[in-house]
Amino acid sequence: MISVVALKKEFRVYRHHRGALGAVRNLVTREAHVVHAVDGVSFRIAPGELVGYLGPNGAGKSTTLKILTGILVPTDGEVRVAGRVPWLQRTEHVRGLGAVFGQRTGLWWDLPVIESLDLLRHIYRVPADRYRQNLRLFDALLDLGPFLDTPVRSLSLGQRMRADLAAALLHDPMLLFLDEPTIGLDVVAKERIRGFIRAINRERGTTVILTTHDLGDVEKLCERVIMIDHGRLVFDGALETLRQRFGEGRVLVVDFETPPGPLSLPGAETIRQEANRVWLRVAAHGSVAGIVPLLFRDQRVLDLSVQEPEIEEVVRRIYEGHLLADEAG
Amino acid sequence: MREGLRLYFRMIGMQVRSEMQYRASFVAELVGNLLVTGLDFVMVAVLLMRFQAIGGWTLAEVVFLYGSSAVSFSLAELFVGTFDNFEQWVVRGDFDRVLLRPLPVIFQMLTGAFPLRRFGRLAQGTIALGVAFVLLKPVWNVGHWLFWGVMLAGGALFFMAIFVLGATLSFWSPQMHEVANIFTYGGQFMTSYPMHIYEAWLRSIFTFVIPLAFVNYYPALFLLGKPDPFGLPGWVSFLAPLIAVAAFRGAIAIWRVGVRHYQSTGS
Ligand SMILES: Nc1ncnc2c1ncn2[C@@H]1O[C@H](COP(=O)(O)OP(=O)(O)OP(=O)(O)O)[C@@H](O)[C@H]1O
Ligand SMILES: [Mg+2]
Repeated sequence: MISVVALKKEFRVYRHHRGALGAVRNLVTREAHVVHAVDGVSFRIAPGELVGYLGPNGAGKSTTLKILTGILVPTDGEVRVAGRVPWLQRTEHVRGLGAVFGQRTGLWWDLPVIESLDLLRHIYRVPADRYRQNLRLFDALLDLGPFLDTPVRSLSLGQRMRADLAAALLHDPMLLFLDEPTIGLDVVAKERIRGFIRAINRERGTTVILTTHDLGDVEKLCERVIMIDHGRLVFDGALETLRQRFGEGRVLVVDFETPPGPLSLPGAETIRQEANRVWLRVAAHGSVAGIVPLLFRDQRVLDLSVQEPEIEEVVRRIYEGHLLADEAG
Repeated sequence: MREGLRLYFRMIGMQVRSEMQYRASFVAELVGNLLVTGLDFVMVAVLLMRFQAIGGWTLAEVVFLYGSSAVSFSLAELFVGTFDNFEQWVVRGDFDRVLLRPLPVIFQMLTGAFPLRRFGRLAQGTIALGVAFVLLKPVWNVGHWLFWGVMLAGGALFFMAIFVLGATLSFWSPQMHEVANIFTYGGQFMTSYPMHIYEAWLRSIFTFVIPLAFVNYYPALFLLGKPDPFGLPGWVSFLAPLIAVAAFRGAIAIWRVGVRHYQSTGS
């Protein structure tokens, strides 16, 4: 469905001098420096996948999506989406995709939501009964009814996002690009939007690529994660693999009857102790079952629980690690 | 084609309804526009009247030129108004939206705005032309009337070309917009009055660099039966459609190159 090979996008950013004289200088001197927003990324995405495209601020996520949707022309590299080159066959390409760039609306700002949807129906030539059917379904999933007649500029952020999602899917695209679709939303709104994305992906087989900084989105939606940093690919694989490879291992929380002395256990390290409770980190490939009997050896254990590494924690470590590596280099 | 037209009107309808949300400011701007441009004209007309002899133009003839230029320009504004202020679209990344829709970019630009207040200039131009015809009482045959239509359309097309080119500059540097304004609004002002009131260098720019004189002034010379005070041959009056079409096609070609340079925004 999507294939990206050695994709690069450079931006030339010009230094701006201020004032009227500055404007003239800007034209004459044009001091540029180059930003490598996407720097040699390759991946493939199969039909029906739901992929989380992650990375810290400025990693190049939005830039990649803009290239895939045909907004930007890359500096170098190859892109095929459903066999087409997005920026060369733009109109055919965008007819088959839906896109929501969370910060921005695709609707007509001053007019009621329903008018935008109705115009989009004509732009995409959606048959009238299919339009009605979709509208009914989206209303059921996203509860659009209460604000269909409200001008877009008066919508709350959550309402606007729901309206934009509906607008992006009216024409049954086979591909959906979402750039931070849950940004700034409350827990309930997020949950609703996640449910909607999942339903569209499962029931219609729509391929979805979404960027987000909310790892809840990733945990609840994505089986596969592609992670970039400074325009380079740092991980591509299952969410579970990410957790295992970059997680520091599981944590064993043990409540002893009395405060234990220093513990020395092969394959586990004490990371915290508060009175009777001890937190032990089990090495990434270690076995909990191997450690538990050792705990019972000297003391009475009242309670015991195992914590999986939080994806939030895992991702934080990756992001931070790369930032550190960069400072060192 | 039929479907395209229907969609055109549907999208223009959206813009009109959007505009109507701000009815009060619409009326204020309309009145403001009428006053400002009207005052311009009165001032220049008074000056011309005082130095009546210059170039042998009567007030009625000047009003004819003024009206024709205003009508051409406002037609251009009505159709390609989106290209004016386009630097805002580039700076804010609003052009993303255009590229995400399965319609030709130019089509969306033609339907991206429909500033009703610009009907003010159209009305003004039409009134000026009415006055000019009453005063001039021209004895024209069908050919003259047709040629006058060609002159108006050519002027409109040429102004459209300037709007498109001005917008195209924004893809490289949004600040260039101010420069573009010199040629759009400046050009409109220039072509409202006979060329002989200008300094030679300015005249040369609008004759040979940005050949606006050929789509407005020279056709008017023919229609008013005046010789060219600058000695160009009579047939240059008929270059209007050629020059206008060439300018417009050129502008669209350059625009297409610009679109591929669009950089969107960082957030
Ligand atoms: N239009 C542009 N002009 C200049 N630089 C840009 C432009 N768009 C993006 N950049 C730069 O390219 C880099 C990548 O930006 P991008 O928006 O793709 O990041 P992102 O991963 O989406 O970040 P975020 O999580 O903050 O949204 C950044 O350094 C940004 O400043
Ligand atoms: Mg982004």
